[in-house]
Amino acid sequence: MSSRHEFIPHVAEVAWRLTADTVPELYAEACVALGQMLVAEAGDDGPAGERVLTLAAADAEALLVDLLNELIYLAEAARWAPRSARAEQWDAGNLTMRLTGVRLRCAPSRIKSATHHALHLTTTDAGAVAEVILDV
Amino acid sequence: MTTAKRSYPHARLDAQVVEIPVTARSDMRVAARIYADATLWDQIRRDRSVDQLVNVATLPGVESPVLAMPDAHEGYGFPVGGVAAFRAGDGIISPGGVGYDINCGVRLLASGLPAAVVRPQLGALMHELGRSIPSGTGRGGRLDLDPAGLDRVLAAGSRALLDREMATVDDLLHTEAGGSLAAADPDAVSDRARQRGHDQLGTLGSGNHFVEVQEVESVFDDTAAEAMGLRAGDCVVLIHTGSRGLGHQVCTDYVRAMDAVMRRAGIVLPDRELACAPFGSPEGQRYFGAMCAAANFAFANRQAITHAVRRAFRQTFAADATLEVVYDVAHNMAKLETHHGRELVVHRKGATRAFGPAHPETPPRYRAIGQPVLIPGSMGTASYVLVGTDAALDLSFGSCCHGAGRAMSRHAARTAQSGAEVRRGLEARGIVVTGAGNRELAEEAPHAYKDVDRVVDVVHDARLARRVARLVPVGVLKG
Repeated sequence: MSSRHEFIPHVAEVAWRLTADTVPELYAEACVALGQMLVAEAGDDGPAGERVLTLAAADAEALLVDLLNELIYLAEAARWAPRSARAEQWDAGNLTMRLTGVRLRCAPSRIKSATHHALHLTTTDAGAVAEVILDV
Repeated sequence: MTTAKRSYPHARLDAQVVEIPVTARSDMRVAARIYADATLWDQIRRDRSVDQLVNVATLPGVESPVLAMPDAHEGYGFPVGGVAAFRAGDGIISPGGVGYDINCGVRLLASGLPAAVVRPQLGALMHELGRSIPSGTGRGGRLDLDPAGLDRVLAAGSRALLDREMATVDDLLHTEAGGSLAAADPDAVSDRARQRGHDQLGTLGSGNHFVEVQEVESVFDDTAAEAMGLRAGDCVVLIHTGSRGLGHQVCTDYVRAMDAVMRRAGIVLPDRELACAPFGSPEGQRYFGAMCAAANFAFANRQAITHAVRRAFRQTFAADATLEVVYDVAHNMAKLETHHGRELVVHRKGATRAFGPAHPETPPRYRAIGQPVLIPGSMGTASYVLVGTDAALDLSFGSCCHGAGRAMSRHAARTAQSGAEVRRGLEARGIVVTGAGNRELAEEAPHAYKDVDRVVDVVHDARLARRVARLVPVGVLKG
């Protein structure tokens, strides 16, 4: 299974289903998916270097929400959005991501936050699947 | 989402109210009531709003009943259009019960100018409004606040703009809570929230936010309309926005903090987004202080936009053109209020406060009629002005609906009609639209929302609020 994301129905917000072979790859896919949405809204002015994010949270699901919220903050405050991502270190409560990104032409405002609502992250022999809702 | 939607036993109490009894699910502490006629009840049941409302009915310290307004739709944690009151003594406060856009709200300005005067200059007016009110992607606004200036706004709200001559005492008198919540604690607002908000005062943001020039199409209550300075055929301006990135970050920060509190305390919730803390706890009080500070930022934001709207009218029409604030009311907020002799933390998420004539917080100008209640419709459809009722205090903790309420996902709306088609449809009706791309127009198209006329009929017939005037759009500046 290769990493991918799809939009799933929600009457008011944006909801994703993310799939990947592993949880670290799923985190990377979430970064790329969000980056695509941010660039679609704000446009980009080309490469803007690399960032390393280190996060700690209560569990794998909270890590996913924290990761997305970190990127939403960076987009608005630093006009930076991820283009590619790789998890360098992960356990159930800690994550280090290395990301390359682009500079956004303006600060996006469409996505307010990633939420914990109906949040699922499950792993099976087939890989990892998560559903997450973004407030827009 | 893959979580299955449940159905619950329910009974229709009358033509406007459906009740889900406290016995419907074993973890419910109180009953749930949904204000909806048969058509709206069918729409509301299509998504998970009822599940979400039942989840809210399980929270500690909740007062009976929890409520959904006729514009309710699925949100995250609480449903949008939800009202829930929790006892200050043994109840909770929940960031998810307020929402990310803290004090998202609506402000109505009366221009006193007939539409016949405004329409010939509408293009110039909308251009000037679009030029002076940043919208859409979060470009910095006209006010870039230094840390001390931002602190003043967080502490004092609209009152902080008096010194800058961007507000008048009369404006504050006609803003909920005087545009300034005394419980605000700027120190509880994180550096991140400040960084997101410092250059956003006076900006609309995106989504369903807007500034609309509207015409008073019809008046249902002459006395109330006169008290508000509304006359049939006159133009008014409706402003819909909130606390921008600053408020979003406050909610993000405290949902995270309270998620940790839940885990430490071993509290299991039916939905993690309902993360909460006892109102009296240090965490609960710190969130309340931060939320009030973000709400003050939102009041000041709508005030700064009011200043820009006034300037645009003066430039377009006459140097002495004035616009009076009819009222400014929040629809995403938790307030400490007294109901039935009890001190309650009333959460209104996508719901409007609707106090009647007898309530001491109703401004003196409206003591004979009740607090103005502003209900924006979807883009291109009608909006309504109503007044709160004393009956609403008994029925709904003094609360009412906040809009039409979404009925269709953004994706489905884009599929149903293109943005270009929506634009052509609005322009064919003489409505000037500015500031929005075709994607935003498609997502906010009228068919994506419930019928606002029907929603308002329900709240009027249920005595939650009383119709005063119907407004129709003339020019739309979209966020």
